Amino acid sequence: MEQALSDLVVLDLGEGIAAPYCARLLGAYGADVIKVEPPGRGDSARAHGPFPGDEPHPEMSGLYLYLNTNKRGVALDISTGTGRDLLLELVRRADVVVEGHPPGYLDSLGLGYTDLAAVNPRIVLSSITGFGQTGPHAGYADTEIVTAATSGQLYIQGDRGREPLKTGGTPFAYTAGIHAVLGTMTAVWARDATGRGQHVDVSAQESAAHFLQQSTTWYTYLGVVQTRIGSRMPFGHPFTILPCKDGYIAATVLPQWIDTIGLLIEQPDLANDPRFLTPQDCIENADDMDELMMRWTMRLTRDEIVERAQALRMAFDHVYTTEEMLEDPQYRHRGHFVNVEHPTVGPIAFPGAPFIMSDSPVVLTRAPRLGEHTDSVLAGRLGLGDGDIARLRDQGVIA
Amino acid sequence: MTATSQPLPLQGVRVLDLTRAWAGPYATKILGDMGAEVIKVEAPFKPDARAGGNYFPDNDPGERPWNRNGVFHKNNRSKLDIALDLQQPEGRDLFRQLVAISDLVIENYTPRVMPHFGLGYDDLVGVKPDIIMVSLPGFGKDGPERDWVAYGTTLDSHCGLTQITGYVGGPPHRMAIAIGDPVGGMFGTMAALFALHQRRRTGTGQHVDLAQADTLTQFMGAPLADWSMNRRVWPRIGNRDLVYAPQGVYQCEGRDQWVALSVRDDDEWAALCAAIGQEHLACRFATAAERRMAHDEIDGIIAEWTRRQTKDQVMACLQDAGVPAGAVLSSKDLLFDPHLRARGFFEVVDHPETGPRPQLGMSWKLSETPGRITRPAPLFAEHNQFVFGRLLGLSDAGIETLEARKITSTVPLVDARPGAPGDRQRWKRIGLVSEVDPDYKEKLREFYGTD
Repeated sequence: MEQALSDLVVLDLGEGIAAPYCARLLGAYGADVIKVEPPGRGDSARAHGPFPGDEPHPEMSGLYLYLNTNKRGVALDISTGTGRDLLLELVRRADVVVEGHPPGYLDSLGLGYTDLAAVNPRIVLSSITGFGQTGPHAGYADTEIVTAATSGQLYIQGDRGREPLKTGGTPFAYTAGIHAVLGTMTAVWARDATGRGQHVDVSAQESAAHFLQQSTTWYTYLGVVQTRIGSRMPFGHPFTILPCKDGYIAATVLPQWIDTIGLLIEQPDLANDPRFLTPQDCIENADDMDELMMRWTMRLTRDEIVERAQALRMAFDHVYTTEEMLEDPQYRHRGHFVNVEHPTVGPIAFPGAPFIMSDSPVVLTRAPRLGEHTDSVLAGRLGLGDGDIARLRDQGVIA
Repeated sequence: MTATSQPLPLQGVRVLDLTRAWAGPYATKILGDMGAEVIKVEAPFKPDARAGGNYFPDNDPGERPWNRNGVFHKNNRSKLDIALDLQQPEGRDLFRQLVAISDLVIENYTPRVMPHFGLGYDDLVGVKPDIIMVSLPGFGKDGPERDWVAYGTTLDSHCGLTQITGYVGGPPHRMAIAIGDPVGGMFGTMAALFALHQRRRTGTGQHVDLAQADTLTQFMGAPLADWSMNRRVWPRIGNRDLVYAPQGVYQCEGRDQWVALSVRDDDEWAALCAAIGQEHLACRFATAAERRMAHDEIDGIIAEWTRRQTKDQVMACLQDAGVPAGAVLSSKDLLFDPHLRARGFFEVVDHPETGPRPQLGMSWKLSETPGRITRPAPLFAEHNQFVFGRLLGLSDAGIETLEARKITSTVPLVDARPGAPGDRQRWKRIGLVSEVDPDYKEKLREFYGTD
């Protein structure tokens, strides 16, 4: 099947979220992705879960299964001399290597960028870390909340007068992975002109900081420091979450629509109300506005509210649970969520393509078991015979 | 801006940019930073978000406020700009002439608009067979919600993120950033790069349909797996984690100063205990399960230690011990952060209306062909002469005729409604900002050496 990246061979040395996610996206659009994991424990995401019935099992971790679709799996100990040599042979025949080890770790194994480029000058090495390859904080440990904190995102979110609040899940780990895809593809494109690959350095802190465009501009243009104001935004009100009869809705009402909001919530005098003349007025009197809105929302279901608001071209939407997203008619129409079958855990509904290319269909295939394709990759790619492979297995270099 | 003779990686790629607001311009900004020639096409009667907001440099709308909007500046650096009215047939004709010499068209109109103009993908292929078109509707080009209005600010609710964000025992909490926009934008850039790559091999272009509502769901893999496997919906757990314990945000010395930390395994737990002088706790809560059960108590012990130190001290101390910890930085802290400075992350942009100011720089570093902010955001219609004259070969008289017929213009042909300058002291009073810094310009000049 012809897809956008059918000509690319990618080695995924990543663990956790960002680097494997980058490789997953490349694989979804056609790249031939070989995941290289340490024998024994494999990718740390195998221990993360969620697990069926909360019983840990390395082949049943929901996070691992999601992030490693469209890859073949090799268990190879790259910290051994033999393992290193085998990896370099794979690099010789690859276009891209994606990894997320602390800066200097691959160099210490003789697998840094210059080592890879010596074997394959066209190789693109994409390295994703918490704080980048250089600078005083290079090598600092990072988790999602540390990235949220050091990127400026955490400070501006949450209620006034109490600790700031992180966004649920791990959006910034994913964002780093997305940036790695962009950096990788830019480097692959440039390779045509230069004949050489290069090293792509992605910092999760910098990736997430890019969401702080408005905040940083507020300081550089006006000298003000944005802070948190609860479930609200500084552009006007309502930009908020409100309860209704059967859950919550999100409302975004641009200031010029204050008349329409009055129409929607059956408060025709709203446009003339002195409390709500400008966006700052609306924010200052947000509690009053919320109270008026809730008199209306609490009588209606989410479907009713969203339908009426959207009919007036207003950006209201459901606060969906994961279960409800799967039932959404538009997602069903687009076939957005895709069931991927697993011999271990059965079908899991994963999000499918983030965008639809007319000439590059996305077909998700399940994540590999640890070492599932070690033999076929070593035989097929490197021409190793059964004897060689058995020996390597005995030595513990592969599994 | 740094002058460098290193080549830009996307040199030679030409992009026609019809997008407005945040997501689309975000996508093309990245392409421009990487060296593509991005021609932003604005309608004379409906320019992009140059109006409104309160982001004028030094709070001064100036004589041409449509060229002084900070939101526009940050979203549209590294691009050229023309004014062109696609409502008029001759405007559309000129657009087709530009398509004939371009690689990529990117737009975020509602789905009917481009075909209605006779500028849908099938029409453009007639002009340039290998053209690539990237469309960014909110929900998709067809389907029951195709006409719904989305702003980036509601997409996180639609895509399940808001439901799992909130204080323990509290309601769903809105994200402070309309994350749907920049994420949609980044996937737009990705679609463009994938299509360019494919075309290099096959010689053919294609149409990409990128519904913004399809992008944020990418972040929901683990919760969705939990639904499939366990029929379980994730709770809101504030700053804690379902797996790591302890994890949280702890107050430090000073006003509104915080640090965030996580302990991923028993080794990091022992390291944390040693760092805070409580070695005996390492055995007392030896497993993650025990730490989760005693989380409140542990939080209290950690907070007792952090509140006597600055956030930077806590971060340095814990990171030295191998514990993930991060100072909670404000936007101002970011701009003066020594690590980001060493990385050259903020780049100084000299816009004619603002003088030199730092902007967020590159999203990744390339060792051989680094990107950079290639130019400040364009003035309205700044490149009419270059695009209509040089690229399309129109004479000066020809361009003047277009102006007379309002097919193009040199200024926006609508009252841009800039609004009044912002009342910064009021913002502080109502809590939108924690500080109004009277010396911001001097501090930035000193730090970024832009004297």
